[in-house]
Amino acid sequence: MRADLEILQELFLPLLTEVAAQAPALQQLLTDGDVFWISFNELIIDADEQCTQLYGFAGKYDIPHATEFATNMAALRTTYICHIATLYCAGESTPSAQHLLAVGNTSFSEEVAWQKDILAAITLSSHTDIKDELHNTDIPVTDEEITQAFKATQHAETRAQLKAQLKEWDKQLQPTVSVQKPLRSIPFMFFRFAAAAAIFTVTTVTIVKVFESRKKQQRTINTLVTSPVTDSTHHLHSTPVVQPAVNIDTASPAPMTHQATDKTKQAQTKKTSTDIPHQPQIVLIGNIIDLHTQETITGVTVTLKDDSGKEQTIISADGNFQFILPRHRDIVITGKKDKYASTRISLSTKTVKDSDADDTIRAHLRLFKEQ
Amino acid sequence: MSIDEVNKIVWDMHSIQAVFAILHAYACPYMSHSPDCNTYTDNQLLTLLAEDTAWLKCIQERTREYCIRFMHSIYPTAGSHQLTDIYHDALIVLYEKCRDRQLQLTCSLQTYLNSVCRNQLLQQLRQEARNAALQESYIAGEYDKHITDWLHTAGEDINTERVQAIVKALAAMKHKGDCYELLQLVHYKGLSMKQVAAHFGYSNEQIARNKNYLCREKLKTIAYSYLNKKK
Repeated sequence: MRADLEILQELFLPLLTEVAAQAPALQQLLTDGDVFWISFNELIIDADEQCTQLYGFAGKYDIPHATEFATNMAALRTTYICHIATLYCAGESTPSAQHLLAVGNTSFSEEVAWQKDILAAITLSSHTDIKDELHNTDIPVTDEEITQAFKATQHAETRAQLKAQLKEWDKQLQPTVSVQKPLRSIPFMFFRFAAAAAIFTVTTVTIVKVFESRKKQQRTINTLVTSPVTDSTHHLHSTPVVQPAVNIDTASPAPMTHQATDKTKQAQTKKTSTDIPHQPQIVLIGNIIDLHTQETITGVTVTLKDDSGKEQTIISADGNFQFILPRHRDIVITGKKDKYASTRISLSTKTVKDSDADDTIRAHLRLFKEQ
Repeated sequence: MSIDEVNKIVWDMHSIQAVFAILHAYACPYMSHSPDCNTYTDNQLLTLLAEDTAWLKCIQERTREYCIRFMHSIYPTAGSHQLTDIYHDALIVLYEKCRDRQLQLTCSLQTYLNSVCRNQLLQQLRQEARNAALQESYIAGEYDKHITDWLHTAGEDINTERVQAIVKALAAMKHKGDCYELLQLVHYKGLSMKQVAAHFGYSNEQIARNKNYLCREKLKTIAYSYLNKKK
């Protein structure tokens, strides 16, 4: 039911029920429900100050003591209008309120104005209440807080002034920089570049020359040792210069093949290299094969890693690889290829002495297909 | 010990726990420097505030210091009382927005309050027709230019003299019966008659409506007596 009709019923029903006991026609009307209340609402809100409509209503339904009835009804009407005004001020605009506004009902307008004043007054009063409550629980703003805030402000001001000053200096500096820069800096830069290029060229040429001459020397030494390598690999009984490879660890299913060079060749090497400070060179020549099929595997990335953490990596396109082994190190060689797992070759050059001859080691690095 | 006795003890313990929980929830906002205030998010606090102004204390604990500092940085000549008053106005704005379910925070609570305080300061300067400008150097997050809320007081269509008389009448009614509280609940906090009935323990909203009508009439009588005295 509409809020206004609910209030109407609430206010008028007790009086109408009381009167209806002596007016059967009214009793009949009360049973009509909403239909009656809607028409009764129109009667009430349209009633004039003299309540002539209410007298008419009393006469129509043979209500006894019509004057008393009309007076009571008029009093209730005032209350009703106040309630409608309350609803209206609370934001609930009922059809009755709309009607009263449309006809310019002064009682309703005055009540709305009055309630707006109450709302304003209560708001002011409530604000005071809230502020009082906040003041009661408030820690007053201390002088220290104000000083801190003042300092912060001063700080910001000083910064702003400094910024302004810097901007000013920027403006003063800008023209000098823009004119002088292209004239002076370019030739100077050119000379600097030319000098650097000359130094670089001279240094590079010198290094290359030194390197080549040393390489020539090395080649003469190496030829003495490395040329017969292939022959030496067949002498399996000879004593290896490199300690038997620390061998393949548990992960590697097959041992490394290790062969030493011929002792006689070593002796020859020693003889020829007496007058040059000798550093024995140990070369590892290997090939990569399948663990099961023994077929050569190509395209494997072979990595040599020593115990100092240094790594050498080569990509073996034909299935062969060669490394000059670093001295005084434990070395591990592994391979890497997609869908293959690698065994490891472990070697040590820690026992190689300066007096030892150059040596070549042959090994097989075995890879097997991953399941 | 029988099962019934055990159940009774368990039930009693639950009751005690429940009582403590309720006491805690209600007492929390009134406790000074309650550590619990910091456990709520900004939005949770706003939800609680919509129901009870006591939660303003929590918000005050969290935001007051920085707000005052912020205002002082933009308006260094303001006195501490003036700044506190403006900050309180901002808290009232916050409460009223929450009460009317009109607040959708798009920034932190601190930024919102700073923004309202700034608006309030600008408004005050405008009203006082002073040329003093705020010393503003915007720092991100300090305030939000898009927040335009400030505390609107009596509107133009309100009879100020009558409002003052009603304020006086309300002050006179404050500590005499429930009328002041009832009128405040209806007119300021916007409670429905059903809620008012529940608040005061009336059996139905009709009683609350009648009581409200009677209180309003009483207020009218007192206010008119003040107005007539003036004349």
